[in-house]
Amino acid sequence: MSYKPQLTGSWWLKHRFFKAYMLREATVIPLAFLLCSLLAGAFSLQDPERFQHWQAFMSNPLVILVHTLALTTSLYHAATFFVLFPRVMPIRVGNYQLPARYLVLAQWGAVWLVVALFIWLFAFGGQS
Amino acid sequence: MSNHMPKPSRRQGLHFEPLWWLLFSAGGVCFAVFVPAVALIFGVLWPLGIIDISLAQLQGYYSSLWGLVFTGAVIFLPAFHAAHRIRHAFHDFKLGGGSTTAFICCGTAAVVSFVAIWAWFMLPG
Amino acid sequence: MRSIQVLRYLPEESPQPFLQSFQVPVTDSTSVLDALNYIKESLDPTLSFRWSCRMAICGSCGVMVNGIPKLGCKDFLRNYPNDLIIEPLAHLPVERDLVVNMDSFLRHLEAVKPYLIEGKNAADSSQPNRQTPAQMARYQQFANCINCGLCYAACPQFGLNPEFTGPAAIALAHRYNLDSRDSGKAQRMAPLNSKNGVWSCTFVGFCSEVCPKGVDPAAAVNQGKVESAKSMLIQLFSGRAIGGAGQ
Repeated sequence: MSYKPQLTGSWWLKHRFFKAYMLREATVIPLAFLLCSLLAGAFSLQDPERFQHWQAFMSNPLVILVHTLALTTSLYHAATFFVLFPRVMPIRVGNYQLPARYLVLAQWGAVWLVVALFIWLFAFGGQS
Repeated sequence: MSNHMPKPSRRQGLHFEPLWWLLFSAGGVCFAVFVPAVALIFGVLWPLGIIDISLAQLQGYYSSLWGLVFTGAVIFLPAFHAAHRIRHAFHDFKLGGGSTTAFICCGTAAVVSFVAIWAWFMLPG
Repeated sequence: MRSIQVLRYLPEESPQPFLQSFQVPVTDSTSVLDALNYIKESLDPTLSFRWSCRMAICGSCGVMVNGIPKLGCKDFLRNYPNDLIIEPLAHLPVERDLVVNMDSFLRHLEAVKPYLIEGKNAADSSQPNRQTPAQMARYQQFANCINCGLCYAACPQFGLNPEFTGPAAIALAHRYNLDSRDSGKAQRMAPLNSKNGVWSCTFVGFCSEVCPKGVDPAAAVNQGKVESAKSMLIQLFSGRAIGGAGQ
């Protein structure tokens, strides 16, 4: 005679750690919206009128709000994902184990490098 | 499937999880490294009028091979990343998460990726 | 004195588990296990729970303390100034009070063969197996597991799917796969490669948070995904079946 409590679909509400996990998983929802916006953008490049429609869509305050959310959650995703990388693929040179914090810092460096590249490309037209 | 194979199939015990996981992982890196910049430029700064982007400039960049790289790193891989997480969320919520959910989620990501690559090919240049 | 609550299950008295309050004496060094022992000796001899070493090495006294898996001997009442509820480990069938049935955990552990398997990497049986400190450092972290099962109580994927091999078993499989003296990796990859092996993990990571010995089972499971992906690719292209038995 024994009993076994069954998990319900709301198990993740019981603890702060599980809520943070679900928040991490939920970062893909604003991402999915951004991907659809970009996909529409890719098609709008064929024709100036469609491009104007896309620009109007992207400038809708609600859309800007969701995209701001996508920016925020992409950074949250980055913060959670970068610390996992050295645990999944520890880098070892001979007998030297590369400290995890260097790998995390290098990944953040890559994020800021890409931001700088995009600002250079689009705010300065790729000119120095 | 034939059942008079001379030796056990080399596919015995194999499944697609490693493939979905590799796409998920690569997509996770792209989501973390490339998406913040893209969301910042196209989602916030440009719509708010802080920076100005012209159609000709976008066409110029996008019709080059870099446009295809952009499609791969910002649409294709993150789409599979999102599909994987959504599929596992269904499992976490006890709403499925088996092969049917996997087929629907990864199938959607595949369609999105295909459409994105098609958009690139449609652009003259 | 302070009040603590214990989830009781006495199947011959009631088919439902119920919470019972006890008043226990408390000092700065009273552990959860001390409180349980006080209850058993002075208040209610029918209370059932497992314990042995009192020094966080036998791994017997795992319980949920306010919903978090803990070793009773390593967790102190001073950490809980307010409510304190002690329950049996989650995700496992409960036999009586705080005693859970560990059979499913042991079955998963057995399946991954967590011991050195002799073969081409082992020394001649007349010789000792030598290992350099660097070779030992590769697996030592994962060798600290004491099989207490806290990580199984922490893992929602094991809670959702009891067939999932689970954190400790995969960490120990990885520990032996990384050992330079071992030749059993091919045998361990079959259970790890299956959908209920490493692929059931979504890197919630709570297993590594609750581990009382500082093992990082989540890292082992996800390093195992890399190994499993490699092993399955090799099988696909070389035609050698995973598992290695008889191949």
